[in-house]
Amino acid sequence: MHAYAQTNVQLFNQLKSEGYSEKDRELVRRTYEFAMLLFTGLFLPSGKGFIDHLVGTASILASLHTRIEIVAAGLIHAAYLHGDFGGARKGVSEAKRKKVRDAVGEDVEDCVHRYDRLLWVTKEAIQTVHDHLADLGPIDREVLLIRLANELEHQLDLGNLYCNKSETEQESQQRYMKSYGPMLVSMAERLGALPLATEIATASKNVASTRLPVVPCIRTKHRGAYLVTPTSFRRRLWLTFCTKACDGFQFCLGAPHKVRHKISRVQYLFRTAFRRAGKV
Amino acid sequence: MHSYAQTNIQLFNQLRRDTYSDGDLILVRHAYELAMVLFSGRFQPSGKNFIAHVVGTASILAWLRLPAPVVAAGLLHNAYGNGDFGDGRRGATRSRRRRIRQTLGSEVEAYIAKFSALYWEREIKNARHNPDMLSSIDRAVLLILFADHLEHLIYYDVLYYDETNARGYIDHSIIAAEIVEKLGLPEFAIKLKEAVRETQGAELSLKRPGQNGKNGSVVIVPKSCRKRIAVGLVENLILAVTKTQQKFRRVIKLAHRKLHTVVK
Repeated sequence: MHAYAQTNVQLFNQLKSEGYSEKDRELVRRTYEFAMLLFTGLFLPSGKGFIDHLVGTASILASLHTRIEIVAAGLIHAAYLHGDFGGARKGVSEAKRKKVRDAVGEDVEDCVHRYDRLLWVTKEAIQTVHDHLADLGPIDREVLLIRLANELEHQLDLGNLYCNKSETEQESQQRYMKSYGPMLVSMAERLGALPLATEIATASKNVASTRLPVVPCIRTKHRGAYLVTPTSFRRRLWLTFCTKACDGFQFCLGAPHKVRHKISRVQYLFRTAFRRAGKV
Repeated sequence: MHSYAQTNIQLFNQLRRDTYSDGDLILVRHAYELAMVLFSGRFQPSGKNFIAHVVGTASILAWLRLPAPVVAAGLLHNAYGNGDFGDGRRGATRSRRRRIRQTLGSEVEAYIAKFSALYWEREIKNARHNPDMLSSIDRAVLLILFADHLEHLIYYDVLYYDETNARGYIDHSIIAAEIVEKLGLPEFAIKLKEAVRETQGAELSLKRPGQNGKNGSVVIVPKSCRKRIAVGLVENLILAVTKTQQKFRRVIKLAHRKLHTVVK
């Protein structure tokens, strides 16, 4: 088992032993309290508590002896993506930013906001960050460090393999790690975080080489973080209505594009089939 | 840092390493899935995720190489005390027991029900004087209780509780160490003693996260959620009945006293 914290108590003990001052630890405590409100009841597809993942990310950053604002930002890095602010609107908004600023201060909020803006979803986006790393300013470099710590935390204990419900999915995850692992390592090295680079390399290697039985994987349809509402509670009705309406609207907007995509896919399949038939 | 699991992933890795069978893993997975539902949003007074605590307890039981049903019971040991079944009631009611029995089988449920009915003084007295006379269920339940205590002590979790509670856990763990030694588990006794020693010598690294002076675990409700009307009604009804009962008892007591004086 790795030595990174998974609970707040472990994190506080770690911060003390790493030599962070009492004032620094106080900021982390305040941020953790805020994280409790935003991420309560949230789980990763692997069944791991989301707040444990956040603590893990902060712990990795603390082990690198980054400044305390970065550790605190690591604790709420997904605030704008998954945080429950009690509204229907997804993503970042000025009202949400104000709430975060009031709770944890401007510096931490700025990092969280930059983290949210950092494009990391597609293959090309990650490649772009990798290629233009030298152009990043000092704060953006630290924000990238949070992103890398987040990636490592997902891989620790084979966490990402536990998200997959079949062997095929596990293999695709392993292929992903084989292709992206070296890029992440290279980014960590160029940021001067050599221990992080080593840890990512080890974790990627473990993920790529382990065959995990599907048996212990939690049964859920969710692909991303999801809320398990405490049984005595339910989602507010107006929020459910708003979310459904938004989803429906977005579906309608995307429908023509989806139809076009389907047609081109069928055309492609026919073309390849005819070509093969011609060769035979 | 200790090597006990704090997340389900760490627990499953541990079980795989310790060569628990696929059937065992499935049972523990079912228990964890139920724990996710029952303890969602619940936090310890230290601010620690409640699920991390139950996983830690199960991890200690797995470290003792106890059978999978005991490990699964460790994951839900406090289900009747702190679990949210959505019925607005407390304790081991018939419907709650049925639900756990249907999900995990009667053996696991028996451990959990026995755990919720534990009375420290009585059980400890029995275990201290006649450790060989304990039934297999009693022995397993006691080990779950001691694992729970150890989990509270490691990482100095109890230091974030109020002084009486913390003192209670430490004192109980000292007695627990003595009993587990008699039960033939010297390594567990050593771990308990170490945890007690370290906790007594440690100082709090921070003041406890905001639980507003509460000593028990609390549920933090997601902001986008609200209480179900039916649950609220049942809770209020139970509260009203309890209050009326108390008032009634007080009135009877008073009347009894007055009658006594008149007779005198």
